Amino acid sequence: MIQAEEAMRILNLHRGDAVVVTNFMTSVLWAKVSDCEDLDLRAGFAGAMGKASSLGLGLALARPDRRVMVLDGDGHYTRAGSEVRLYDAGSKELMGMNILDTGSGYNSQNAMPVHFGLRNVALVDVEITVFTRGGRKSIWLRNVDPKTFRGRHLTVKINRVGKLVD
Amino acid sequence: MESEVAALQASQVVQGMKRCGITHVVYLPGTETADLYDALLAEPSIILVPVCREGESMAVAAGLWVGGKEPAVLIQSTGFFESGDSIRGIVQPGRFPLLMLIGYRGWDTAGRDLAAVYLEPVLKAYDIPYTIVEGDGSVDRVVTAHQQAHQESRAVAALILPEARR
Repeated sequence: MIQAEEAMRILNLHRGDAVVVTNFMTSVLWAKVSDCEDLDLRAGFAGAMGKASSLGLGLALARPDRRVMVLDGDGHYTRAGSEVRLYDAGSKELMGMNILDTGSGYNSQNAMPVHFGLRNVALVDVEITVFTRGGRKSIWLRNVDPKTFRGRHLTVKINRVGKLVD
Repeated sequence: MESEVAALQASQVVQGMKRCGITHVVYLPGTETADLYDALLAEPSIILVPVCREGESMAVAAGLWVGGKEPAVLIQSTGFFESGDSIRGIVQPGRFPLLMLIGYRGWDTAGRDLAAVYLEPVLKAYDIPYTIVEGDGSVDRVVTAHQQAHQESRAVAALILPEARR
């Protein structure tokens, strides 16, 4: 995995004349690599949980002529959540549906796994619907054996265009 | 008749905001400020910026101010409480002039609504000056609060009482 500082070093090469808004911890790393401090702005002057993107939004609204880049952190989930549905394997019988909500709740952010109570431990098909720039995309995992995940979670990684990531 | 008076007073508050040069109102209104919200909708010179959480309103307003605009926030007292960390992390250390219009929920419930009980003590705890907007004569207090915000480079609150709408 690429280290955060290295990622920022690369971002700095491509920032152009963008105003870069950082949060508490990203400010520390960005200060090491930025070559245009005049256009750097610390959103969390004293640290503000997950508000760099909000400040960046305000700045972009005020100055639509400027590019604004936000390096967020500090507990801000940057992906929309997903819908998760379980079906009896090979059928269209819906056994349950749940929402993985990453932050639309009032005064809360969340990345808790969703939980399903199953009537048995037979194979299931899992449908995960995510929200991408191109709209809703569904990923299917066929013939998932719940016994395999006793005491742990099924983790599914889906990229921003709705493709399954290994 | 009561609603007509409320609409008139809300309109007067908006006129006061125009006198202040407010360009954007970042809002998540409550019951106490519903008429004010309606009046703002009818005012083309002020741009409304909706948020999902009141804490975001502070950061969005900060970004607008950095971008050269003149924002105000319009929230309920409960939203002010929700904004606590943003006020601590962005508004207070940033020392930018910010007019906070806060609906004074439960002000007339004789202490039964803790949203009212805690509002003024919490404002004092955050060292935020405030004025109470009630009735025609106090509409100018919005302007005065805004002037104080600029003179002292800080957030100043105008607490909107439901009676100011009736």
